[in-house]
Amino acid sequence: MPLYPIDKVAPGMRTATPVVDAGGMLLVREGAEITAEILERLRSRKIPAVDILVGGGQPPSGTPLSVTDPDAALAALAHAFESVNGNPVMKALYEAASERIRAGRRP
Amino acid sequence: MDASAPHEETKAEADALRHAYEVSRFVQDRSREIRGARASADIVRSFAEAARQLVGSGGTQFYVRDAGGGQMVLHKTTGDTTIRRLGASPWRPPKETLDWVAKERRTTTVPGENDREWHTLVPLVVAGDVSGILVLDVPQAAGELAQQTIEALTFLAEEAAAALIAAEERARLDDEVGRIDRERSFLANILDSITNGILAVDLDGRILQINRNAAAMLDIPSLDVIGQDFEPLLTGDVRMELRAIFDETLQAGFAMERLVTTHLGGAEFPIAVGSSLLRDDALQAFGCILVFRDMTASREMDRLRKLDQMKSDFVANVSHELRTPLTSIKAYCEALAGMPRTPKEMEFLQVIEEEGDRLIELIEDLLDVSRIQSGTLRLNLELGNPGELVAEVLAMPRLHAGKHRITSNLSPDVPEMLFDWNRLKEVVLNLVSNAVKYSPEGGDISVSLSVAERNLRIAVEDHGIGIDPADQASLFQQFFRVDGSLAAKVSGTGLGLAIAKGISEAHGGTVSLKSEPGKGSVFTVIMPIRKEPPKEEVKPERSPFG
Amino acid sequence: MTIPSSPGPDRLRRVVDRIQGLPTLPAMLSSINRLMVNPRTSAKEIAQLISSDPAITSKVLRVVNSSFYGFPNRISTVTHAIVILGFNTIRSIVLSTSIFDALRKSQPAHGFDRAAFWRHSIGTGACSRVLARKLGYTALEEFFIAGLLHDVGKIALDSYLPEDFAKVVAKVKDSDCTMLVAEEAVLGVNHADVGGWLLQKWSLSQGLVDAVARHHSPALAGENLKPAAIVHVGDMLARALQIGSGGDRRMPVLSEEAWSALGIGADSFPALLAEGSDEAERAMVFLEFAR
Repeated sequence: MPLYPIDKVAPGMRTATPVVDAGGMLLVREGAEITAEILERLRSRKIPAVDILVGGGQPPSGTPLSVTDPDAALAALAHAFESVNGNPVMKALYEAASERIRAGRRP
Repeated sequence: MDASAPHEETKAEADALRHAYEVSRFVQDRSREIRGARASADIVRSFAEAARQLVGSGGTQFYVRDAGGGQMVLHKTTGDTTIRRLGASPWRPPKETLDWVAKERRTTTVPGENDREWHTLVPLVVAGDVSGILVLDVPQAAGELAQQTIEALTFLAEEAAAALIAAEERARLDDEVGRIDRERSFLANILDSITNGILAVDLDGRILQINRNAAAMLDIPSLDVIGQDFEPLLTGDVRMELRAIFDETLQAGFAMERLVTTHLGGAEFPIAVGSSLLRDDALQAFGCILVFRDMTASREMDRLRKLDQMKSDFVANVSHELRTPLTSIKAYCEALAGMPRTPKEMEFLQVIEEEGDRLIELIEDLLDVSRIQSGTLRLNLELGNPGELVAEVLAMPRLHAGKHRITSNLSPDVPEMLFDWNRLKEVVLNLVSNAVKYSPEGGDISVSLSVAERNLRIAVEDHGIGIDPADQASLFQQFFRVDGSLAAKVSGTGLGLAIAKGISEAHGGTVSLKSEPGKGSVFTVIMPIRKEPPKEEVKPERSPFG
Repeated sequence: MTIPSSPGPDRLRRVVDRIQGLPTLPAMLSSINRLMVNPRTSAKEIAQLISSDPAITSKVLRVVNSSFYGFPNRISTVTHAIVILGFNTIRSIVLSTSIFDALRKSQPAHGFDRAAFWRHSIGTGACSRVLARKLGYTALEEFFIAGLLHDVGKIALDSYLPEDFAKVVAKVKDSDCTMLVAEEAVLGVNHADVGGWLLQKWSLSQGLVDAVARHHSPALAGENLKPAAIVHVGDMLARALQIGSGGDRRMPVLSEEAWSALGIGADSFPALLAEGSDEAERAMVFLEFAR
């Protein structure tokens, strides 16, 4: 995974590793698509370089996509809970988690 | 290996164990003492003393959340660490540190101004929320404190925090009890200020609550009767009647209000007794409430109202009875006038006829007044032009007998509208003839007609003697006439303005007056412009059965 | 549905006997433990011990100054760190950084995403910590570590039985089941059993061992039912938040005993998820130690 200097990072690229600032704060999860907003955040936190995923490869199998897209996140969540939703507690957990995604509160 | 090593190790372990035991006993004793203290000052003092023995400190600060639930503010301090640092202001934890402790709910020890001075901060957690922070000054390098000492301090501080919370809760409860007491006396004051008598009894007839007026009306000498059976406190009829009302209420859930006569100091007082069931939050009946109304005052009102009614009926009947013979008298006068008469006889006949007319006018006025009063004045509403009506009134010859100049100013935008032609004519005539009468020196009288905000406005202005402000308010009452030498010379029944007012009001309008003695008066009638009959007067044109 | 069973000691032995050359934890951990047994030990003494290893010292200071603890002022010495955050917290930090260090050296086999794995582990640690705080526990670091290590058996299998583990990963991929189900089918034991065994080998506390070994079967955790239940539900929360991945795409089955042992209502999920998400974000500081 090549390390791209921040001024070579452009929107549309995907991160290969999570980006953490000097204070240990996670700025971008791995596999996330760089947006103009994220780029701005990285610059403001003085991140010198970012690991970029090349070849547009999918994350290794078995890993849920590092989904920035709420629809994909909702679909992955629905899939995960499919077989346990008969339990009312799990159903409540599923609903609370999907509500977070819908409200845009993503980890 | 040195042979003494195992022995040394065992000794050290035994030492540590003994020390641990001593500290734990100390902590136990102190925590019992802290928990035993009731006032928060005692709790803080006990804790500070224990802390002093553990680390040589005595200073504590106690922070609580401010009323808005926001920042931690200093509530009280004990012990003076200030002596050590003569002249310097005491250390206070930075706001960020307080916030951090509150957020993390973590007991921590932070450095003060230098490494030899530390402060232990303990969050006070009540029902999941941090409601306060206890700060203990540790006057030595915390890094050198034994683990167990820090744990003992933390434990005692947490005990103190718990005890403080309990103490604050007790104080809050005491406040609550005080508040309930105040509320109770507030309620008793309200009950006593009600003019009705109120008596609440439980299902067995024991008094739950009684106010001053109930005690007075029932001739119960003391209010100190809560818990007593109500029946033995009463006598005679009242006792029987209240018992009956009470039983009826318990059985049927209510009892019809009824009149009961009580005897107080030899005099009789009528009281009306109403009752209803007392129910708790679950709608379960737990007693009965009796309300007593003193009927003495309302009886007097009743008597006056009846008297007034009789007077009105009398006036209406008499007027009616008078009109019939008067009509005959007029008819005979006219018949006599048709026969050959000497001029003298004709003159007398004319006097009889004129006086007869005045009598009929008076009687008509009286009838109108009684109709207005009894609410039986019926309007005959028809579409008409108020301008024409005013013109018709101003054309009447009797208004032009004196030396007055009567002018009119009729606005062209006055539309056709619904009104009772004869009645409204009466109003305008009354106002104009009043203007004439009260302008003995003659002068200008003007009648103006205009539209103001969807209302018809008729104003009659004279430059006559005017009306004293003291008289203006009662001017529209029946039979009222302004006193004074001139007024005495002017004839009149004193009913004109009352009738004008009644008719205007029957049309949904008002009559008002602006006047200045010596300069003249303006009477203004304002009434709504209606094109269609008001709803309540719409009658079906045909009965569905007709 | 497979009810997680307790493997007979024989089955577990047959599997773990094949695990050779496991990393060891630094001797410092046992020294710290020995010091902390003595109640008269001071913060300074522990700090001296930790400071003897510059790598651990810098990691400890890195963590105590991270937003995970969010202390308002900079903590510049280990002594301060111990006094401010407490003896147990610092021991836990040393423990977790040591474990990351020990496992980092093992070689990942193909098909298992270590980065996603550690993110899921840190997320589970954070959510377990949030749950423990809600339930009124004070030794929160223990729960963070238990959550952090709950799937450590997977790393052991991945590194030391790579061929078997590759079958497990393939089965998960083929039949879209949980890792737990695939492990039981392929190996007859699961990562929870292996993790518990590993922690026991490292002489960690029985509470920690039970919480990890029983995180899929809290009802079997005996007196440590509650810690196991907290990790069990912490795992669910981290999965619901989609923080990293433990290697599968399916939720495991909720243990009713665990749920009722916690005594919380399903209506607290929105708040737990919100807090867990924040806490996990702050805890990602540990991720650097996994590289």
